[in-house]
Amino acid sequence: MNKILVVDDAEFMRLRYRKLLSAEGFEIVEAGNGQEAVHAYEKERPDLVLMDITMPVMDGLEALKQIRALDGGARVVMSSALGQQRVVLSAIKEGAKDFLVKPFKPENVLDTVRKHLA
Amino acid sequence: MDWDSEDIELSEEELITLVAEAEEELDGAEGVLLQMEAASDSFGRRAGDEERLDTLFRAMHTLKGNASSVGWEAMASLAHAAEDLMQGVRDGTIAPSGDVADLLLRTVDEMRSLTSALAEGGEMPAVSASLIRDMQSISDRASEEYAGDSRSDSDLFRGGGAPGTAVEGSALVVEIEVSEETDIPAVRALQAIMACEEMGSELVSDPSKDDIDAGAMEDGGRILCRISEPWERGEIAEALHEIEGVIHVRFGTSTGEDLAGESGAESEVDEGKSADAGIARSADTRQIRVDVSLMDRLMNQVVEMVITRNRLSSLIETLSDHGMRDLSEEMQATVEQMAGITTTLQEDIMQTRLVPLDSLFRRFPRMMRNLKKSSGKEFHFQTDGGDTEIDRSLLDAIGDPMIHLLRNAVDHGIEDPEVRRGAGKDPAGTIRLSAFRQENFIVVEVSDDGGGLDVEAIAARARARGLLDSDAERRMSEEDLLDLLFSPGFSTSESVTEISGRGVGLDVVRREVEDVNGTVIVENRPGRGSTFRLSLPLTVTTVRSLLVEIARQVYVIPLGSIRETIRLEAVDLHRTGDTPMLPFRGDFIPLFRLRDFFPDSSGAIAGGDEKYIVVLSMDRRDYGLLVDDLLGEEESVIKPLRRPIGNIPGLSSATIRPDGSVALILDANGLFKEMRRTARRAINE
Repeated sequence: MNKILVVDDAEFMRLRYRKLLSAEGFEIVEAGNGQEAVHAYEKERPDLVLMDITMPVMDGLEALKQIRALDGGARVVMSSALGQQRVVLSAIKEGAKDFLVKPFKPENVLDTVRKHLA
Repeated sequence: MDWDSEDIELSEEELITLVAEAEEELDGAEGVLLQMEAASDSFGRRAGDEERLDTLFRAMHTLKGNASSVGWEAMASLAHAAEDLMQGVRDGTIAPSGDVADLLLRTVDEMRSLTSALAEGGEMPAVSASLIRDMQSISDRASEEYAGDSRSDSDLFRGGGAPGTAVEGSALVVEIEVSEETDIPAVRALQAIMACEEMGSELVSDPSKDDIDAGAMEDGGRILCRISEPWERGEIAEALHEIEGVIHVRFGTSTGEDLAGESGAESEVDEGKSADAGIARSADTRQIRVDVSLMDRLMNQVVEMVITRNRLSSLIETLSDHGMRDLSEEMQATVEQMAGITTTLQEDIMQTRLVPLDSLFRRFPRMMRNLKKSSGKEFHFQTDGGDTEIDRSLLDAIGDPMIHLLRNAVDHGIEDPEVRRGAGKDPAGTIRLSAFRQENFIVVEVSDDGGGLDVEAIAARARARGLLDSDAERRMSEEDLLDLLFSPGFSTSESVTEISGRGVGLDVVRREVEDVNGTVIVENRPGRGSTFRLSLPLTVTTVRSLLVEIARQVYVIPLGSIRETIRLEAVDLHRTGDTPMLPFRGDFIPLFRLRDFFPDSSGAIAGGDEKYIVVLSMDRRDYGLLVDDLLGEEESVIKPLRRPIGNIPGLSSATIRPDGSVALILDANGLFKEMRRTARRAINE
């Protein structure tokens, strides 16, 4: 079973991810900010990370860098709102595999997840 | 149909052809390679090795030609590297070592998996870049050591310009279109560039990543990326289509020119999401897919049936000779009824084997377009008569010869634009591929309006190659001299260009065409171009023919080549030099005997038994053949002759007689040429 780390400061968002993805048979691990995400990544070694960009304590971009430093093969998909083009560009350059634009549509999330876990 | 057509869809038919041919070539190549590996110390020096190496070289050559004409890049790049390597082995600059054999065997394996992926419509496996590199480095080393003579065929052609330069260091250009509809198009563009980056070591892109940072691609648009590693197009396309918002992937090759230009953007294929670029299957629900081998089996069975029917007829005659007249007449009627059914069946099956030449012609516009680019020549390519139908097996057989002739037309036929301008011609030439039916033949022509052929230069080349002595030359007509182009050992294009056949000469073209009982001739229009004309039989396996007896042997002459039969006693022969001449339709035509042609044939051939003259027509003129007796007509089943007999000019094939014996089928064209050449004996009575 593939393990997915969902990182978002909004619990509602995490819930939605969790419901959607566990219904599809994925194991879900959650983190509420970048720092938690880095720790969770280290401990859980998930197959995929879905991570928000704008978060307290440590933002998604910094967390991405640290996760990639821990594991060069880490598969991280950033989620962002429209209008965050520059940040998403940086994230992609830092090694993010893909991005999701909020508000997310369930089928988009599933497509993206499946694509990167294939 | 203009050559600008981008239509390179691969139909089921073409797919089958492409795959079957690849498999065949690979089988042949593998056989040779296994020998090379086993006998590496002595390989190349044993009897027949030269031919084996040629086989191998040509297999790679064919694979390359086929693959590049449909944009099957993975196969083309492997075959190109292997071909270069084989060229070196053939030239003696590379030793046919076990290592070389091993490298090539691995290449064959890769090609097999590419072929089966294509056949099954699956994904193309990645081609091992290291394999190509290894082959290239051997070739490069050898060519550094050897700076060879680079005299090319083009000096045989009046005004023919230098062949195009080799497309070295070419890179794959990928044009990626990002939809403006997608979320944050600039990010998608960046992802696309990064995906390309993972594939190519020296990636250049326009716009660059910095441009995108600076705001380019915010509304989507096009990116050009140049990838230097030999990746397989399908794979790149697939990776790019994985990215949201990528709506188009196109490919082109670049010879190093600036990407910003139109060169990349304009070029090449639209792309399907999987399999190889540009290779798509067309589906037509009104058609069913039939395995070619089943068709061949059906055809063979019909052929066996025709033989059996002929045998039955002859048995009935015997019955009648034994006085069982009533019974035999009744049986005869039944057999005739059956004959009608067999004939219809045969025709129908033959009909199902017919395919329009378009399925072959469609491969060429793209190839010609590439050739135009790499040669620097200007020309229009036109095709005509693509709806002419031809037996599938013939289609397979003429694919290579056509590629060769078209390449020759570009390489040697059409002059450089300046030369053409200087000669007062349109700087852009015309190459025309046309097909039509002429009586019992399908004629396929490749014409160009280039400089034409230089007969003097051809003769000089032939003398230099020991194919012609001055004595023979004096007796030869211009036509005969032009025919030397097709002699084995004549063509020696040493220049390595994408275009020229690199030593795979017109002799191969002729042999392949003759293998299917066709003929090929050239027509020269000095200063105005040349035409290569292939005449192919309408049907492959049976032919209406006249049986004749010569020196107690039965021979078969296809009715298609017979003008008339004349009783010898009814004519007044004349004589020109040693050759007896027959007055025929207001003209005099030469008269020959088969024994002039086979002077060493065994058995006492007594003169004076001849009672008939069969007037045969060849491409341009008629001649008479003396025969002892006419035995009647039949539907002869053609069985191809295997070498070495198959190499004897004048004998095209054989047929099985109702009594089970074998009779040879005479080939009017070959016979005439050979007779004129070898024996000009008089009929001395």
